Amino acid sequence: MLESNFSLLDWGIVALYLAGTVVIGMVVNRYIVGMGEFLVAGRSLRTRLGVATMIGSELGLVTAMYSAQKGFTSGFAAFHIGLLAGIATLVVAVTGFIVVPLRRMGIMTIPEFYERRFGSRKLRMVGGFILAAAGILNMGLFLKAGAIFVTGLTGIDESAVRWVMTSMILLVLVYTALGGMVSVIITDYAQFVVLSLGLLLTCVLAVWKIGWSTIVEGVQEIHGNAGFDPFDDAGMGGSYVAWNFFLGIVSCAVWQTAVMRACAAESVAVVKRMYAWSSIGFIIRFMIPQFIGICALVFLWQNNEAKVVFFDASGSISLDPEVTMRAMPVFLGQLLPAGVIGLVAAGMIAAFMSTHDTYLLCWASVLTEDVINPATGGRMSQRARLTLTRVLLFVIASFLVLWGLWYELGQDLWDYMAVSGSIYFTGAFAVLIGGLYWKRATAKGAFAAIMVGVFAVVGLKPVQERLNILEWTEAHEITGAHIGLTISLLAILTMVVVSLVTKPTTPNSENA
Amino acid sequence: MTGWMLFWGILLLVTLVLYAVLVVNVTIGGFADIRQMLKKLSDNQTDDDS
Repeated sequence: MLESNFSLLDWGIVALYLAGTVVIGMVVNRYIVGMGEFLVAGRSLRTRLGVATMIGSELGLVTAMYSAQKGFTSGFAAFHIGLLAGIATLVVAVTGFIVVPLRRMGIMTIPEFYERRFGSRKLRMVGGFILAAAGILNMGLFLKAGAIFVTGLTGIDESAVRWVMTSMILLVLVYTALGGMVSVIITDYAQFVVLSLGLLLTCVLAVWKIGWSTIVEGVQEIHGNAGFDPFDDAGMGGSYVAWNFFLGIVSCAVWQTAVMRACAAESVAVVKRMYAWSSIGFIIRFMIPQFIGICALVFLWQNNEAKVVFFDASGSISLDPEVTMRAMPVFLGQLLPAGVIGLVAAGMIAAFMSTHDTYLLCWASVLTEDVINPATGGRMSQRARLTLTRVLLFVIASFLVLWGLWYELGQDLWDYMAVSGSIYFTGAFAVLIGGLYWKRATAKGAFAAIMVGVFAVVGLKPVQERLNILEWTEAHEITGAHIGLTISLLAILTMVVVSLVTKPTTPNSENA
Repeated sequence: MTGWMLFWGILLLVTLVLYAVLVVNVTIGGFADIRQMLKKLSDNQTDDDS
């Protein structure tokens, strides 16, 4: 394999950054006096810091990896994912769709909304469990993506990387457990600055070294028209585009980590401003890494040594998702000079930690606030809830190490994440729309919609294999996008039908 | 292909320029926001203690 430019200086830059993040976690610990500070930073987030932390947590190493992979496997056509995500976020900013009513209610988590709107504690507990399960499954391959990135970029042995990644997740745990949302926000800010500079520099260097016309001609030669037209059925196709617009809406308005940011904002006006600015961020988080993936495609195609690894004998891109995921870091290891590569690595590893801290905190707090505490009748003290959240951080992290290292990825990472996330958001989307905008919606309707959403798990290739339907879905060209869109519509339909045939509930009527 | 290529090329350029502006704005403004947030949290803590 190609030898990386990663040097001792680059390791130094990375080490310095990691040490800095731990110090931040320890320093801000003194500001944490209760769950309000731990989970939503005392609702003191202002616009520009809100934008930094929103982009910082969403533009993680994993985002960079799956976006670069999409650029590599689909060419410029992949840009539609970022464009639609940006448009969807702007629509939410202008209309306040879902997030503004949630902020007005002053909730901390989506399942908390279930209870307050439908008056059902059981709904909150079931919804919370499904949300956390889907969320943990969704981040199950973060560690694997991180390991592939570090191996590809630095050229070190993969077996050593497992230990490096395990050490890194322990580091994330330490400062998340210490500082909660306050440390998450500050480290997200630092990560935003470092990674943004690294990514901008990488784009400029890539175009400068490869040349714009070479990049365009390369994509044309490898992908043909499907490398530019997202509606071309030889590539992505119309249903995939529709699925990505839906994903754009849910990732900024329904996905718990984004909702947590909205709920941490100082006011409704800040929420709207934050989303308007973040719409640019949502385009960037996909497009910039996708462009780097496209540059990697052309660069590796032109390199005979790399070509045998990333392409098959007929010149087609490798069908192994773990191979195509490696393209971006290998390319960066070749493109960037010593020093700059350390800056990018620090930014990416910071991004890895930032995503982990946000998600770990999010799912641990959902399990505490929405499943375990309600199960005890809400009798847990503030101190007990904080301790439980911190214990759960370690339990989830342990699961991630096992799942990430042993699960066989059967599809592009972006598609795995979309499907695993849809186990939660297909049902939650129906419940949020019904609960916020339709007075007739009932708790039983919400419960049924959440249960229908669970069937989205069928979109995962290993699950299809277990159910013996993989050959059938492939023969009929049924993708995760088709399954996700169908389940979403079914969940909305279920919400409507069951609500109409059941008696409306008043808030807290089922809690007694 | 040419139409799509032109569209993606312009979109990429606009995105990069906007990103650069956003980075400068958020880097400077975000630092001030952090100071404000820590001050607010510190004040809350003082109120709780008294």
